[in-house]
Amino acid sequence: MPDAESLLSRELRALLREPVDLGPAARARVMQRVRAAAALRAAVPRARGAVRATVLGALLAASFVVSIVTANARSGGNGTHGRTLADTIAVHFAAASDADWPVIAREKLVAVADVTHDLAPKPHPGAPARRN
Amino acid sequence: MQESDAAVVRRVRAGDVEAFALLVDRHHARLARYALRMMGDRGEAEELVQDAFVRAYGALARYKEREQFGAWILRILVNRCRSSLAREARRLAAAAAWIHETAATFDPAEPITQRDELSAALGRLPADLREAVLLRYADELGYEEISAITGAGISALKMRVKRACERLRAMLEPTRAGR
Repeated sequence: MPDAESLLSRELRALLREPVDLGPAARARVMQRVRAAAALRAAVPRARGAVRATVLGALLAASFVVSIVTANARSGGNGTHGRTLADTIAVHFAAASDADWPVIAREKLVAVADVTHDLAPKPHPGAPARRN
Repeated sequence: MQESDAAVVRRVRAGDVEAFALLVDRHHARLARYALRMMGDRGEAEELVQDAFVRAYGALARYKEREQFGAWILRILVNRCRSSLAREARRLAAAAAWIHETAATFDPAEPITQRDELSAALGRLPADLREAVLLRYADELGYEEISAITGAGISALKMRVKRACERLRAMLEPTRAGR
């Protein structure tokens, strides 16, 4: 097979090698996500005993849906505007304080939410919450 | 002397999350170049590069120091780009339609740079040829390294690079000869 070097001009190869810089903001956004991942990792304990990560995830997902729905019902569908993920977590833990199932330290989870600055999902009145 | 990537990885593994920024600074531009040329969209490229770094951070425990960090994270990005392309076949169809539309509404008064031509030509290459030619000529990797990253055999890769070069030449040289 002929050497492919001869098939592409030096000019084109130089263009292909041309650096692409998405800017310092793009690099900062990477670190923002890495910090959030690190905080999440610190917050979610490793599988202990019979509690596996997948089970834990399913429990959390279910409890979030419940807390979002109950929060929405209490506020008549309007009170979730501007609510942060940290607020939703707080509502969830407050509602579940009588039960045994919150297995994650509330403070750590709220700290994660503060790092990510996520707004809580706002369920559409009458429509089931969906996640893709 | 600059701290090696392996040494930085050791610091991150020991709990110094902020040290990961050094790896981001060192490798971001190279990964961005690959993602941008592969996907053709700046926003998507940035998203995929972010994903690659976050996945690399999450998988640092599995990183073996005998491998270059740069090659390891490039492999993560290559796989992310492949998944994204496979998942978004409709997006590719839309991109192809856009390329035809752009060609049809081409305004000769608007200067087209060689860089634009190259981007459009790369976008018309099948993904496997584009991947091979970018790793060979943009990242200047040897065939053995490309093979380790893509999982393809060396002779298949040489063939892909050859075909990609032939197609790029066929697409780019007539337009330049016509000026």
